[in-house]
Amino acid sequence: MNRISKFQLVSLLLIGDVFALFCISGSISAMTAAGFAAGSILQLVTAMPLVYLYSRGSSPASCGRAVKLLLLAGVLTWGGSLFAMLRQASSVIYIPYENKGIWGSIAVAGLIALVCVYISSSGIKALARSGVIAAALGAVCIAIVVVSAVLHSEPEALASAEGRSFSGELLRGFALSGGVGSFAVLLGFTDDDVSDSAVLYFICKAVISALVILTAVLVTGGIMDVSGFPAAMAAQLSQPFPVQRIDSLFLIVFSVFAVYSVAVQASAAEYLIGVTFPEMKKFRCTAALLIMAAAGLFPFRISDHTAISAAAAALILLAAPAEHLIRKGALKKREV
Amino acid sequence: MKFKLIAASAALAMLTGCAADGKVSDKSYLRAAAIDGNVVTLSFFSDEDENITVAADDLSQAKTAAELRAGKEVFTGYTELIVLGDDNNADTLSFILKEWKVSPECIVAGCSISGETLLSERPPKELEGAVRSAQKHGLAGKCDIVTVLGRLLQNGSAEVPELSREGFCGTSEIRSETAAE
Amino acid sequence: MTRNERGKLRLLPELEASIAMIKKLSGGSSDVLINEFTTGGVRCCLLSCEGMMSSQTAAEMVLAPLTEIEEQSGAEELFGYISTHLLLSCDRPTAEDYDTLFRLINSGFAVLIADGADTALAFGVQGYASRGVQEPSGEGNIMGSHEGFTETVRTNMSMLRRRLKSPELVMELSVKGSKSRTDICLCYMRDRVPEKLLERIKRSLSEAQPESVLSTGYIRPFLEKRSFELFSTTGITERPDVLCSKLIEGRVAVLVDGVPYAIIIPRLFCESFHTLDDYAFKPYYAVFSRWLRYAAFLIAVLLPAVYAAIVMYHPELLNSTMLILLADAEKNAPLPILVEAFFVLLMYEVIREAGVRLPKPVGGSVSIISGLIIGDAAVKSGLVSTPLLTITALAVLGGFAVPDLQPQITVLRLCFLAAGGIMGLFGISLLACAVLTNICAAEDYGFPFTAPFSPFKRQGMGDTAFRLGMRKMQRRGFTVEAYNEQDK
Repeated sequence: MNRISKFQLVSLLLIGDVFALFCISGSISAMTAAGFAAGSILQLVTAMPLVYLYSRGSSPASCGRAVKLLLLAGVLTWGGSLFAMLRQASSVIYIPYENKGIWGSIAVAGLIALVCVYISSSGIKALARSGVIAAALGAVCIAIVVVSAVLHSEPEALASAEGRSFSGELLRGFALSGGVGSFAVLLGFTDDDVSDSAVLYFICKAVISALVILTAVLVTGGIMDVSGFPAAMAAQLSQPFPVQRIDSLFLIVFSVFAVYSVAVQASAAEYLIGVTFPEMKKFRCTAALLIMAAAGLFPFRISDHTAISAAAAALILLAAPAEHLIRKGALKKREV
Repeated sequence: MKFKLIAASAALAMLTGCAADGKVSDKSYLRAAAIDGNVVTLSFFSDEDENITVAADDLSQAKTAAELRAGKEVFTGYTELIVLGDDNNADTLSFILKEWKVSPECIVAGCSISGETLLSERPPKELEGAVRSAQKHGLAGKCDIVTVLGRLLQNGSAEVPELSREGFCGTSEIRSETAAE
Repeated sequence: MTRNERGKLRLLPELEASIAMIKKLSGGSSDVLINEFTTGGVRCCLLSCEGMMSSQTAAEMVLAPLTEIEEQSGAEELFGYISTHLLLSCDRPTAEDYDTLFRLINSGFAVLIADGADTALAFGVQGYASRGVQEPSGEGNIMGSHEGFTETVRTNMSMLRRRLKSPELVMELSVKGSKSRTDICLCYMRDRVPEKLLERIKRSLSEAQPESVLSTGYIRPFLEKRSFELFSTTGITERPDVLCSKLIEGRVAVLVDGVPYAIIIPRLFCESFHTLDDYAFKPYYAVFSRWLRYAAFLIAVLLPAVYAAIVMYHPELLNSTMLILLADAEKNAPLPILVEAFFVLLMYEVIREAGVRLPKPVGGSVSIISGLIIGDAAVKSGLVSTPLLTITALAVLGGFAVPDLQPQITVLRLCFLAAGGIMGLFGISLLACAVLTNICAAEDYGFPFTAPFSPFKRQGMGDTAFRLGMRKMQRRGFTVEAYNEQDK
């Protein structure tokens, strides 16, 4: 199995998280930032049994079939929701031909899927190396947007946006922030210390989520009621140079992050299909992408079902440790 | 087989692109818009494109009518000045920001005369310059579309510079019926 | 007639039969010179190839001493006497089969066969015409050496040896090409080269069985992975000083006879942007020029595509003044912007190709025709707009700053233009993701092509993103082994 470093792992997973933040819909506030940050920390705590399991030498391949299928379902569902988010967010971000009816959407999704097939087929190492570069470029763009927002926006905007309660935002953060399925798979690929990698990832996720949401609130706080996608709109409205628009350049970051987010899910799904259904080894990547694209056509939105999504996320993180405990218990009974 | 598929898709896509005639000169670039109830006046960057005044129920219809009159697509992404008349200002500005995708630096101003008269008598460049000068001298506050829309949504009203034949002539308050409801 | 363990035909001891065999195998070729004579009481024959041997050297160093040998009892004693008592040349290989004999003759050796001997003695008296050491045609520089490799592998070997006088520099000669029998030389620093790297390269070379090796392109594919890679993971250089710097870093070089280029293994993407002048100037200027080359590469590949994408799909990115200028310039252009851009780029490629292939006396006409027709008449007639011509010219100039990557820049530029013209910035982003992945996937012999950027190696940044001062660089003792991912 090819190995990746903890920084490569964190970059790959954060790209997906940030893309999900770009596509976040509905009103957000400073409380959302706090909720998402706390949600990430809560995910870290929930993931600790899994991390412990992996640090003892376990991996996704050594889990039972049920756990593998659960992880696969989680990865495919999240991949499908990424396609759905892309379709929805393209109403704010101009992607040529996207708004030319259903065929336009299919063409755009097909192009992304084609690129993802190629990226996934190049292997996890190529994905990880290119992901780091893409993440670095994205970080630079986000930094520019943040600095511009801080310099040009008014602090009152932070207070003006009204959101839900902390517990509501915490649940939303737990459910929406990133694909824990791919985390559960890719953590097994890391070369470095597993717990170090997990802690680094969730801490970075908490910080970046808070930063992106606060920036979005700062820029669009006053117009939150009419902002369908506040983070995407914030990136477009936050102009560092008054005389030169650069909002379309956000499309580049958006597109790159979209591709890598889906590619990470596709790679994780490809691996799981490979270990669960070995007979499908030849077409596993294409199968994964087709299922994800099809799932993206369904009207199910994670943001409308945060409780279910949060429960599913927790289940995914706890499934492998739970199965390990059950197996261990069964083994002890047999020995007795 | 994979490479053949990719090559075929690329070739088909190429045909689309080669047939596309996206020339810069094929569009009219909107510089300023004056919205007075259901009368919309559009003023363009190019001297060859004269002002167009249309009556329409909403801005989407107004843009369509203007395109039919001009004979080419109206590109609204460059709009620098919005002159508002009376009601529904929050909805109007929200539509302009989201659908017309104007620059966040687009100025919103009020008008003491009809928008059509204002834009026909004074070029938008001078009106815009007047507003910026007023801001520089502290006579007018921030009046970009994002700030004005934010204030309308939050407070129900917003102070904007007022324009007339003589240029900048003070500030006025615009209200949002949507916020008031 | 017997064959040795490699299946080659052994030399016949009888002189007449041997000469008859030589004539048969050479097909009566006129340039094989066969001179029979008697020396030391033994009938002998001196074989050589017309134009390959230095007649004067042969006459003074070989022929004169050979004909003055005292009476010997037989061929074996004669050859023993020559080997121990006469130093006729510094290079004195022997041949036991006709394959080796012909290879030596065709390499400029004078070969002596004798009646009763089943071996042949060869004397290195090469004197074939070859180009002298000249300034390299590419890889120009300001402050470094102006010597470049030549077509003769032994001259190239001497140029390396002159610069790296260390006994750790090893050069292993071998022969490749079943028909061409080309000499190739594997060069490495014994104390610097990773053992596994050397092993793998030797294995790749031994597995390569080309028919002929007439340029580096005949052998490079055998040294690289089979998968489709946009950029080569092996480099080439025309400069001995550059090659020496690579050898000191633990890389391996392959010199090919008949080609004034050396192949360097492994090669990294960032090295395409390095020049020897970077180490001659002060670090601040070196950093500036290096980043200029990085920017030039991006401009060369992306500028026409970004221009087309912005004009067609995202005009709001242009400021209003530029918009008016462009609108005025594009008004009379009859073709869609994408077709116009393809037309201009393809025209440039045709002109460039014509400039390379044309004989020098006619070459000047190319610049006149291209300048007049493309630059003047096309714009005045409105066939092509001035802004697009300017953009294309900038892109082309950017490509000249990184000549190493010229083929890739040319193809990628066209692909990105197609992507930008069809799908705008979105299309450019998708293609950029695919290209980036292809570059990151390139890894030969365990060395990732995108190191030290990704995987990130801080030690490598000192000579990539920046250029450390020479004292710090010498102290860090860097070898390419630091980038190895496979043998950690």
